[in-house]
Amino acid sequence: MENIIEIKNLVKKYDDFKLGSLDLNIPSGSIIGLIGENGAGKTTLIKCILNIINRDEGSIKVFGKDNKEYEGDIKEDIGIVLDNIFFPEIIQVKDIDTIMKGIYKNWNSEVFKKYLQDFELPRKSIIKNLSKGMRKKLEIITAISHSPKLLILDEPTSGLDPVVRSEVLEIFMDFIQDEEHSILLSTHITSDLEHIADKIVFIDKGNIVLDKTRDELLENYGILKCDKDYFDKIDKKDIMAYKKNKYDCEILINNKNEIVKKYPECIIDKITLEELMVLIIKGEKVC
Amino acid sequence: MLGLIKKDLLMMKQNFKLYAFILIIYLILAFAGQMNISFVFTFFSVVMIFNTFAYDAQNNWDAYAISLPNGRKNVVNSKYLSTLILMLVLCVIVTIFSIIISYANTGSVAFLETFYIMFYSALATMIVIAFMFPVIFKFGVEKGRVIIFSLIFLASFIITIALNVATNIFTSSNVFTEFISKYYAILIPLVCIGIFIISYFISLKLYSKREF
Repeated sequence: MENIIEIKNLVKKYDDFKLGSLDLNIPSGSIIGLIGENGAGKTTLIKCILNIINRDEGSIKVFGKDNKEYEGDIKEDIGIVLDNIFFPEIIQVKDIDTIMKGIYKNWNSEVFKKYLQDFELPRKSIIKNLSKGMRKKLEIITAISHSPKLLILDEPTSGLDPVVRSEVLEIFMDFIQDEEHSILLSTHITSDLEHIADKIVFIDKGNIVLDKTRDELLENYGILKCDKDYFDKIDKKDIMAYKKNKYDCEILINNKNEIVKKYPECIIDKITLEELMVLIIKGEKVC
Repeated sequence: MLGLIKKDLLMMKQNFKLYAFILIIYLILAFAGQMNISFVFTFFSVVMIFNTFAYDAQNNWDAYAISLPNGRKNVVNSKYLSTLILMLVLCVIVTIFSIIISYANTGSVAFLETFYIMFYSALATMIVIAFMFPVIFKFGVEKGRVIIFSLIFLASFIITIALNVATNIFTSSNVFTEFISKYYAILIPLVCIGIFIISYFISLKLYSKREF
């Protein structure tokens, strides 16, 4: 499978925060979920890819081309939905069509107008007067009306009610039906990803702490639950992170099949991304 | 880039009634002799284009625009071009108004005078824009506003002193005054347009490093 994004040794330094050094490959035709706490570096990474901020070190290739040198070409094929970043509030919904026609070579007014109708977005309203859900839908249809190959979405579902969220996720599922299409989606609402993401990339404090396919995660990762006395009997190298509760312990493991055989008397629960995230960030480490 | 110019013009259109109302009042005041017509022109050009920057900042539009094809370059190009288009439109409106009013008042039209007034107002506006844009492209509209206002006061202060000093020095030098008085009609526009072009390249450079 070809890589749609290739990131090597990426470093971006701020006074109080450092992203990287970071390597990441994103295969084409897949949905990649970028998860992590607020402030972990998800948005910084996305901004580096889009050149909104300048990287300090490393290289970023999108569609096999350097993202700075071939910026114009690359961005023709990218659709974006960014957190709190959009057209000025005073712009009317229908104006977006007029403006984008003069920006993307492949902008398709018919498609855009059809989406506006399908999602019942008022054409003459100014952006300021749209509800949060409506605005998010507008941002998404603006991002896909020039038939991009790659969608980059930063927190596209945060702050939306469950109905709108499922509508929004449906748009993404439609988009990904085309096998050439890919989505890079950052979110802290991890449940969105459990059903749709092919690969999960977990960023913590500016570094990638986990980069696995969803199937790999579901098959190999789990939570072993045991009482406190039993905890000491567990081989330290089997423990990725753990949390001691009042009566029992929750241990994050990454080789479920072996662990089942090794500790037959323990229960191993399936893990959700949320639990995984919390255990990796907040859980205690053995070494 | 055409899209970004359209965006600026569409934003101005949203406030069309307000702008039109103020413009008419100012023009009436100007023709009643209470306000300088070239001030009205410069003021409107600068305020209207500055407002587009202020609206852009509301939704972090810059970051969005940069994510579009050739984003950074197009943002800078489009702002300079939008300004020129706006100036052209305002120029036509103000000129037509001038002609109508002067005909109504005196029964004749001072074409040449009107042309000179508009021409030099346009140059003055270009100079203001030339200093304003790099500051906004470097610091953004919030910080930029403070810097621009300080710059305007500082500039008027320095220019007054410089003019005094220059008059003292150059009144004795006949060659210089002769040169100026002979070629000022070409020199002044050339210098102004030159500054405008230099300002464009500085903005381009500053904006290429700006982060959002």
